[in-house]
Amino acid sequence: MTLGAKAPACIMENVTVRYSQNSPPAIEGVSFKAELGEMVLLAGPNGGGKSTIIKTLLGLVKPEKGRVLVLGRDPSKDNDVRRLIGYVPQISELNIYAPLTLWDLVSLGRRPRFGALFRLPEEDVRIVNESIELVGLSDKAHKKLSELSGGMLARALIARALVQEPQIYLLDEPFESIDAQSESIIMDLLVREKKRGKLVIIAEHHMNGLDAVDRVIYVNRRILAVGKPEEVLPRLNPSMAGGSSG
Amino acid sequence: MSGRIAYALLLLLLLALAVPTAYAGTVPLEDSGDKPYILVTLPVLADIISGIAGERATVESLVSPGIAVITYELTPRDSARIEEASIFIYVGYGSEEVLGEYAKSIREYRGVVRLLDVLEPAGIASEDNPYFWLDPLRTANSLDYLVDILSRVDPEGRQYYESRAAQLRERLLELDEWIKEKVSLIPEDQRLLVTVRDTMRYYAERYGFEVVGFIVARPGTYEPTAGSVTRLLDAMIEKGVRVAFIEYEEAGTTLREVLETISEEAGVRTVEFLYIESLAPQLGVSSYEELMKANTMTLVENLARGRENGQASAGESVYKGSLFILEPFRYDFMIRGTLTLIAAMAASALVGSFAVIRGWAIFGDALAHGALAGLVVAYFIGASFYFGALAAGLFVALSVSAVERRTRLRADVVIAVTFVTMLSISIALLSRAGGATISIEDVLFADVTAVSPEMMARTVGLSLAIIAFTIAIGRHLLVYVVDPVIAAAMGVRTGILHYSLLALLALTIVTAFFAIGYVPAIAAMMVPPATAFIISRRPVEFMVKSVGIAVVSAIAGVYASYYLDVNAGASAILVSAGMFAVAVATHKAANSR
Repeated sequence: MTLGAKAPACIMENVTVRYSQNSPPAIEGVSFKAELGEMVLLAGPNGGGKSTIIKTLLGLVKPEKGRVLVLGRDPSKDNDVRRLIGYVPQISELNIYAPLTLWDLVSLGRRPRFGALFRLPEEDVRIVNESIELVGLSDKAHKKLSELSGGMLARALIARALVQEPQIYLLDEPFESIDAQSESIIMDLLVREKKRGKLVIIAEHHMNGLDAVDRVIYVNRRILAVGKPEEVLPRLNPSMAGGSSG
Repeated sequence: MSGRIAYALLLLLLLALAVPTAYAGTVPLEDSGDKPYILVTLPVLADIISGIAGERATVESLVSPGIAVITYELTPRDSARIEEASIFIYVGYGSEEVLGEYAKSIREYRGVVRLLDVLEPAGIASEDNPYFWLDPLRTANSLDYLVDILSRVDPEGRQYYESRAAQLRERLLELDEWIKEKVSLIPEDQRLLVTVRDTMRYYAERYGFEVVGFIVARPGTYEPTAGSVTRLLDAMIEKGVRVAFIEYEEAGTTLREVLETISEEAGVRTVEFLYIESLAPQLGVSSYEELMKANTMTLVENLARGRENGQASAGESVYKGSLFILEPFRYDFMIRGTLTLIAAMAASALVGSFAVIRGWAIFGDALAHGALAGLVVAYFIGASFYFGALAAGLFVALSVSAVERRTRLRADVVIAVTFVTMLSISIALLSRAGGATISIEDVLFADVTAVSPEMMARTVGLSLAIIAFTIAIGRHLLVYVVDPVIAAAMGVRTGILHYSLLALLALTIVTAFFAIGYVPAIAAMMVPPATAFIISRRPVEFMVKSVGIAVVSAIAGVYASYYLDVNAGASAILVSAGMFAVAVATHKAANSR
C-alpha cells in the first residue's frame, strides 16, 4: 500500500471529543502527528483519554471539533481506510462467549477474503496459521475463546491484527494484566512490524520494555508532554520510567 | 391454550380495573323502577327467562348478542350492572362459568345462582353435557326451578310467573314436535354431526344423531393435536360423513380452519353456521326459538339431500395398519403441516443463531409482542394481518435501536420496556374488540393441523428466502455479531448489518407465528440456538447444529403430537428444550473432568 506514504500516517489537529452534550470533554484540543515506521506510546492516567484517541483515530468516535486524518483520509467517513488499521481492543471488550475458536478469531482479520460459509482460500489459511505460530499458540488454535487465558487472548488479538496486514497498529492496553511471556512475545512482534515500516501506537498506562518506543505522548484530557521516554516519563510517570531500565 | 390466554388477559384487565370498579357501583344506571333487575350471562338464557318474567322484571344478558363468551371482556360498566342486579344467573359450564366467578366476587356471593347446582340434583342437567339448556324438553323441565328463582326476588309475582311458565312450556313442547318432524326428513344413517367444538351433544341425544367428532371439546380446554385431528378424519371417512358444521362462535378461529382443512381432504363440505352461545339478530336469529329452528333447518337442508350425491364421498377407504414411521403422514394436511413447521423452525434457528451471539436472544419476545400489537391494529383498521404484524415488528426493531442509541440505556432495558408497552397496547385494544365473533388470540394460535396449501407455500417460500439471504450475508454478519466494535474498527459496514439483522428477526418471527403459533415462534428463535451454543466450538458448526436441532425437534414434535396427543408446535419446542437440558448436563460433566 502506498496510500499517503509521504504525508504523516496519523494527524490530529486541535481535536475535542465529548461523549454526551452535558459531560466534560474526554479529550480537548489534542494535536499530534505520527509517521510510518514509528512506535508511539500514549501514556497517561486511567480515564485520561487514551482509549478515546484510539477510537477517534479508528473513526468510531466523531470529534466535536478539530480534524483527524489517517493515511490522508477521514476515518469516520471512510470505511476502506479502517481496513489499513490493525486494531487491538482491550481484552475485556472482547465477546469471549461467541462460539469461536482462537483460529476463527484470528481468521476474522481476513474477512474480506471469506467465501461462502466462512471458508478462506488456502493462501489465507496459511497466513492465519503462520500468525498463530508467530504468537506461539499453534497448539491452542482449536481452543474456544472462553478456554483461553488473558495472555493468550491478547496474543490472539495481535495475531488477528497481523493477518489483516495493516499499515498502522492501534493497541488499547495490550499489556493489561497479562503474563510476562505473552508481553515479550507481543513486544517482539510490534518491534518487528515497526522495523517493517508500520506505525505502532500503544495506549498503556504501565509497560515494560520502553527501548523500542520512539516517542511518548502523555495525555490527561489534554496533551501534557511529548518527547522521548526518558525525558517525559520520569517527570510525569515515575513508576513506568523505573520499569524501562531493563 | 387460547382460552387460558384470554383468561389471563381478562385477569390482567380486571386487576387494572379493580380500582375504578369499586366506584363504578355508585354510578346510577337507567331507572328500572321497582321491577326486579335480572342479569344472566347469555342472550339465549335471557330470552328463556324473560319468557317467564314477562312485564314484571327486566331481564338482561351480560354478553351482548353476537359475541362469543370466550371473547367477552368485563368492562367497568358491566361490573356495575352485575352489582346492581337483583339476581345474577349463570349456567356454570366452560368459559361461561368464569363470568359466574366474576359475579360472585363482585357481589360477594349475594344472589348469584348457578343453574347446574339447581338442575343437576333434579336430574335435568349434567355437567358433561354443556349445552343441555338448549334442549327444549330439558328447558321445559327446568321452568319450575326458574320460577322458584324469580320468586325469590319477587315473591308476589309467583302466580304471574307460574302462568307464564305454563304457556312457555306449551311453546317448548311444540318446538320439540316441530324439530322432530323436520329431523324425520333426514335419513337415519345421515344423522351425523361433525362440528368445531363439542356443542351439539344435547341435540344428538334428543333427536337421534350421532356425534362423529369435533376438533376440540370445551372452550379453552384443549388444543387440537395431530393425533386427534387425524383420528377425526379417519372417523369422518369411515362413517361416510358428507357435511361438517361450523359454529357461529367459531367463525374467525383457527379451529375452524382446522376443520375446513381436514374436511377438504375428506371431500366433506363445511357449512356455516350452527348457533350455540350467541344470538345473531343481524342474521335473523334473535331468540331461543329462532336459534333452534335455524339450527334444525341448517341440518335438514344439508343432511336430508345428502343421499342422491352420496356415492362419491364414501369412496375413500380408511387407511389402516402402516409403518409406525409413516402412519402420521397418511393425509396431505399432515405433510403440509410438517413441512411448514420444519421450514419455519429452521429459518428461526438460523437467524436466532446470530441473535444469540449478538446477545439479543430476548429480542424475539419484544418483536413477537410488537407483531401482536400490529396484528390487533391491522384488525381494527381492516388491514392485512401479515403486513400489520410485520410493520409493527420492524417498528419495534427500529425503535429499540433508536432508543438505545439516544439514551445509552442497555439493550435489555430498552427491549423489556418495549416488550411490555407493546403487550399493553394489545391488551388495551383487545379489550375493545367486543362486538366481533372473531377472537384475535385464536388467529395467533396457529396450528400445524390447520395449514392450508397457500400458508405452506408462503411459509416455506419466505423461510427459504430468509435462509438464503442469511447465508449470503452470513460472513459479514458473523464479524458484526461477534464484536460490533471490532467489526466497525475493521471497516465493516456495521450500520447496514445491524438493521439487516433486525429486519431478518422481524420477518422471521412474523413468518413463523402465522404458521406455527405465537409462543412456538418465539421459542424457535432461542431454544435451538441456545442448545447448539453449548455444544459447538465454531461458527459454521454452531449454525448447522442449531438448524439441525430445529429440524429434528420439528419432526419429533409432529410424532409426539400424533402419538401422544399434544400440540405439535409446543412439543417441538419441548424436544428442543429437552436437548438443551441434556446439553447443559453433559457440558458440566465435561468441565469437571
